[in-house]
Amino acid sequence: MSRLLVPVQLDVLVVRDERERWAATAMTQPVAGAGGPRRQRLAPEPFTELADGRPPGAHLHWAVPDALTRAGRDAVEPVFPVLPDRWLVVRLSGPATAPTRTVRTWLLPPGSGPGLPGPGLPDIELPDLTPPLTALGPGDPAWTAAYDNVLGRFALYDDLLDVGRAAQSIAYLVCGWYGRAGADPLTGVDEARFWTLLEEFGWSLDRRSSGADPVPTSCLFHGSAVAIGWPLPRWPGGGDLGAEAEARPAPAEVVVAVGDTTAAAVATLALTAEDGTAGGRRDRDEASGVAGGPLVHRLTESALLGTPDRLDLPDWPARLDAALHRARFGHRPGRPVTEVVWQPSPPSAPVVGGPGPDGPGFPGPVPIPAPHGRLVEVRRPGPRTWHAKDPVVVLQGAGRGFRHGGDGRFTPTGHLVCRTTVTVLGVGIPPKLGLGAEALPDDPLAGLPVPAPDCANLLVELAATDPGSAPDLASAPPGRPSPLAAARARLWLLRDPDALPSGGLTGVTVVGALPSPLALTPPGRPWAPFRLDWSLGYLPSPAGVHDWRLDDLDFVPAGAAPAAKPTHLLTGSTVLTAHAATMAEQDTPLDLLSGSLADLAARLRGDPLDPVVRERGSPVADPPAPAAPEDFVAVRAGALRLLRLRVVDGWGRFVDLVPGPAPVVPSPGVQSPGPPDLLAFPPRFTAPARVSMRFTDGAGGTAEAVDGTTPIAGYLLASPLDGSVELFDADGGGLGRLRPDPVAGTVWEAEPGTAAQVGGGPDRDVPNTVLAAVADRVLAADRGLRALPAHLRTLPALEALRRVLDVTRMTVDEVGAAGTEHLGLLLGHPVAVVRARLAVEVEDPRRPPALAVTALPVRLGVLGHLQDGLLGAFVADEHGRLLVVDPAVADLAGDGATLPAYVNPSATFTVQPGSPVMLTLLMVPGSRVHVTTGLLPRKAVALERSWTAPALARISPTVRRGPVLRDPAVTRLPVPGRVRGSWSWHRRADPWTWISDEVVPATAEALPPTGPLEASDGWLRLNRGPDPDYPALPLDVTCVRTTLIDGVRTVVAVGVNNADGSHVRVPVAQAAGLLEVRRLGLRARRPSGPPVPVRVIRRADGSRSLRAVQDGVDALLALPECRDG
Amino acid sequence: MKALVTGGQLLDTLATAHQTGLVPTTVVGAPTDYVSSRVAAWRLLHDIPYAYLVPDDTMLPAESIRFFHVDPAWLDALTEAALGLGADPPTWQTRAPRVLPATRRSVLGSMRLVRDVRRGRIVVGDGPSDLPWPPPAGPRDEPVEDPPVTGFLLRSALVSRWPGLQVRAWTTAAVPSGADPAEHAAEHPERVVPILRLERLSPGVLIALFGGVPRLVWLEEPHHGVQLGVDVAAAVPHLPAGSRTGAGREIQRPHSVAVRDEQGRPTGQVVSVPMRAGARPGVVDVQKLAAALDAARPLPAPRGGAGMSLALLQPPARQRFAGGAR
Repeated sequence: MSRLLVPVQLDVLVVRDERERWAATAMTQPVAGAGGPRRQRLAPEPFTELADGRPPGAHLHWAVPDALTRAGRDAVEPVFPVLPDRWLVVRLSGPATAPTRTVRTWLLPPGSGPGLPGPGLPDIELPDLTPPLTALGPGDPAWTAAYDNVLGRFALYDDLLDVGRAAQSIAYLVCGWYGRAGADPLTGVDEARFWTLLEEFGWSLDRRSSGADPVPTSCLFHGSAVAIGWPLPRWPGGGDLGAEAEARPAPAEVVVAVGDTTAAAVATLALTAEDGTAGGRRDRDEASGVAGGPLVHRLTESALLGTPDRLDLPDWPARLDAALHRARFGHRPGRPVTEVVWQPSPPSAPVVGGPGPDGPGFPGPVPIPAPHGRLVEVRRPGPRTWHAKDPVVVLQGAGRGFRHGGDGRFTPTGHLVCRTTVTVLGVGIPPKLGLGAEALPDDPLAGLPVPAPDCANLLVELAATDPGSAPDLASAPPGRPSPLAAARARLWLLRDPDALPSGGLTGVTVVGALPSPLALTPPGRPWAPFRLDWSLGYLPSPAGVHDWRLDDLDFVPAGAAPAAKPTHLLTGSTVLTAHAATMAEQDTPLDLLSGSLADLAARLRGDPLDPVVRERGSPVADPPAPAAPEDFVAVRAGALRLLRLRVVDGWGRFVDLVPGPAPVVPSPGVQSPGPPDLLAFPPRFTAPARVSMRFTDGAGGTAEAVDGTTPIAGYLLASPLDGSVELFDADGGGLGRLRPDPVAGTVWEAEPGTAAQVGGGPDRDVPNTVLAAVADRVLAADRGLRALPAHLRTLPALEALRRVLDVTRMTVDEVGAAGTEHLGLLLGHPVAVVRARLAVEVEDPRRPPALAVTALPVRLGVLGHLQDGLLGAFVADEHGRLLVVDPAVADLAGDGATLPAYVNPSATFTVQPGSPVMLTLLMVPGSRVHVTTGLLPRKAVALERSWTAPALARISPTVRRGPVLRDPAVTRLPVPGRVRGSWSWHRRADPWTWISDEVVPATAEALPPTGPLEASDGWLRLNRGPDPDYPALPLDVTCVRTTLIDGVRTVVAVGVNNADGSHVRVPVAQAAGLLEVRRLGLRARRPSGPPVPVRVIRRADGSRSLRAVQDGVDALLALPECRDG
Repeated sequence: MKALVTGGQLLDTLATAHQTGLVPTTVVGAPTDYVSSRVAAWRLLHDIPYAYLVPDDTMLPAESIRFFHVDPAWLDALTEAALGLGADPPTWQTRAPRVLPATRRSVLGSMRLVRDVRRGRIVVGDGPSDLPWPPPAGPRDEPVEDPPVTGFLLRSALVSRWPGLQVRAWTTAAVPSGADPAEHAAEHPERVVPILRLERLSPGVLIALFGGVPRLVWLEEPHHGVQLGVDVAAAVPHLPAGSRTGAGREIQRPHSVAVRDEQGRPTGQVVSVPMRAGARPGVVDVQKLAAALDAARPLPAPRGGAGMSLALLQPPARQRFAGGAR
């Protein structure tokens, strides 16, 4: 039976000073209540210390292999590997020449085996853990990191009372295995699986030790600590070998970086180090606006995140900003929704024909016409909710330990080298072999229920590698170690290859295969930081979010300074991880530790944070939440003051960083303009929230624009020639124009060629109420403008509208998304008038009433995004106030002139959470609009191409031209020849009469005019020809789902048979949408006779229903009811 | 978290760039060959409706020719409007002064090629680079002087009856009237005014455009075939062809034939062309004409068919339009 010898790191902390202070690290044993789930605090309170300290003696703590602390990847829920549950601890003490060393053994856990030789274990009451034992322990991933948690399992206290007070060297060996049958990961694995498992675990096999051994069938974990001096670090014959280097850093050596993300904090540390100062660099850069400071920081942060945005795009700064801002939030998926979509069949494989009539290569591959496709029901996740991530503390120089996560650090490939059976028999200097067995009594483990002979071999290895067991200690010169002890101590250099002389271990004889340096720990005072205790003061802004101003991307302080005294004292503990180090390090490990100031939002809300304890197997349910505290915070805003910061290690040793000499460096995102000890805490919701931006029915309703409903109310087309703005309906049909008039200011002019009514306004000619309101408000704003005294006169609203559109359009890539094939985009710049509904939704179970009346600022559109095509907006149906995208637009559009009140230059409006706001957006077709709230990541919604493409193909400006030379007999004008449609020349014979001439395309051919030409003023208009009509794909409706509405049986869903025989049920709204885009033709099947086409009926309220009437009978209602399933 | 580039900074940058014309060079670069070719064609009045060239029929009556200069200001306006199509109006207004010089430079280079492209001799973008009328060198944004473009419109039966009517233009009127145009052009290339466009706008209307200001323009019969004929007698130089009597009969103008020696050189003598009696008007009595020629200048043998052909051989007719001295 072959075993795989897996090294573990054994650290021994020798306590000689009883006055030392120790932090409490022990986790409370969870106890399920009888009344169902309950919350119980398991972690110790932050900053609490052990009242009785730690007793003198050796405190052993060994780390379980990294591979056994990682959850399985494929499991739906994390599944941790089982940990070895049987351990043998062996101590060597006493002089090595008497004639052998004294051996003492412990078998863990207590009571797990037969009686042991020697004194029994200390009186430990082990918590009752339900097997199998994993790294989670009773439910904490960091459970094994604390010495007190695993005492008796992966830790041992040796009071050393039995070894006396004579100076001596002590060595320990731990040897672990699985006592539970089948728990060993190597149980029953064949050779192929063995190597796969080895790779999964990150282990490798020392080929020198494997030889021709069969595949190991079990694991044996082992580690040793040697040359520990007792009661002093020095021992006879060892010289300075017993000196214990202190691994715990001094507080002044640690740099504390606080950032809004780990990457931001690491970037700050990196740039600070370059600068050579502990802080202030970012302050200086931000204040002076020197390019490079914030830019380099963000690029660094982006690179650390591993997701640098497309820096080759022209609008990369805005993209980078948005990506980094989004990185400051976490998200959870929303509830999934179901919908039916048309899924075209994939194109069939082309058929390669043989040589055609013209020889080889003709006609080549001929694609076979694909079958139509089918309707399928798909589930897609609902909109996500976002929550602000907590600030992160990154510690530089805090003495990152590699006990956890560093198993592979001694090989270039990152593998932990294991052996099978061959161990070290001796370490000496020629001609002395320094055999370990010589220092041990015969068969020291006789009678113990331990894996033989490996544990005994490992004990020999311990004696062979322990300088304190060298047989020549008596020959040591004064103050220096004996030659053999010194030779064995050279093995310690293997832990640090950089310190190893070029000759390696020359002159040292090793009999056997050395273990990984991980398994051989030299004396020292270990430091394994794993927890950060922190205490913060929350200093709210007096007026909350209103003391902050929404900038381009996020809030910036603008109002009163935060309160002087904290209203909330926030205290917590965070597990320190190497996340920051792995993010930044390339080859050399970095001494970086990071942890977030976790659950700040929950602490401000007074939400319970203690874990829920329940009986195993009982249903998952949270106990009822307590009532909201009086100082409940729904929207945080203000500053944080770092009051205390303490790093705690596995034994409970700690370093106080704050207050203390450790410099604190805030990243730019948390820099506060106030006192330097404050950290900015920008406004965020304390509950998950989302921005809901939905396009709605362009006709003015509130229904979402889905299933064939378009959000387009119409189009505006500004003419630079005459300063007019032309209006088109959603289909691209001309309606009329707003035109500057020297007398009236701005007048409405109906579409040329249509009968006009004196004094008639847009509401008469524009059927869409939204579009009519947009035009009407411009007229109203300019009414009476000319009569005002000159000093009160402003720009006309029509002119202001045109300028705002023109200025904002400079920053938009108009054809990037919409394409260039549309004539409308070439002949003019149509602006889509789009309806949308905006809501900020906060999923706060406490439903704080104050939140519902908090007015939160919102910005629409971003100038920096090329694809953001918002040119202006009207909020809450106030079509008399044009909201610009950025205040700078108003400045540039004004160009020195006074803008009318029609233009709202603030670029910001307010929204109350939970209260939707209707928006009328002026957008470039095919573009998107971004919503910036600062409280949440920037959100973008894009116009669907199908909403605008038909209109863009039809829109053509009615161009007022004149004078043109016109033949009285025939209107011959130069017009584009490749446009489908006909051209008209509309002119007025007198102020009341329109004459429309059909335009004959003029050519260069010399056709003499029939008479003198006349100069003619008029409007040139293109009447686009109809698009080719493609036949819809017929699908048969075989059943319906009906319900009674007001006593009338009404179809709510139809069952459709796909061509492949599958069946899908389509809700009426979706079916109507599919029919209206003419993609599908639904037919109601009848028992006899041909199927009846299904038509969409629009009701007065905008809702739609399906009918298939034939001979006065609705064939749909004659169909059977669809069965469930 | 502040934005790296605020909207205000972005707009300032854009506005400044537009005001100063410092737009990216890729935008200011020369237009594509196709665009250059199209604009060059428009500058040569291609696709311009005829009514805009001749708004009134009386401005170009039948059997008339009108010489003109092409005003480049109008063509610049056309170019600017064409290139500005689809552009943002304020943006275009600021960019146009920057873009147009580069465009014009390219367009001028393409103007010589338009004719060859239209005739199918070359394709767009495939023209020779060493044009005799190259665009001026200099920095790309330096104003470019338009070479003068002139031309004429001819409305005449000449256009329909002589489809191959040839046009030559010279910078000087001192070109000998009997000179061979090819030989003269080879000897004096500096005197040649290139033809940019020569096209029949209708069966009876011809437009010609020259790349310069000619002092002399020739209209020539096509140089093909052998033409035999007689001359109109110089005695009644002012009687137009086709003049009719008061009774409606066409007045037959006397015709003559120059007498040549055996070398084919004119002797300076002229004989009247006898007409056949009793035949339809205008039928020459060849036998009498041969006898008259033999009488005027006897040859070693009486003039037979070949001799008569030589006597009646006529070179292509050439109409000269010469301007006054500059």
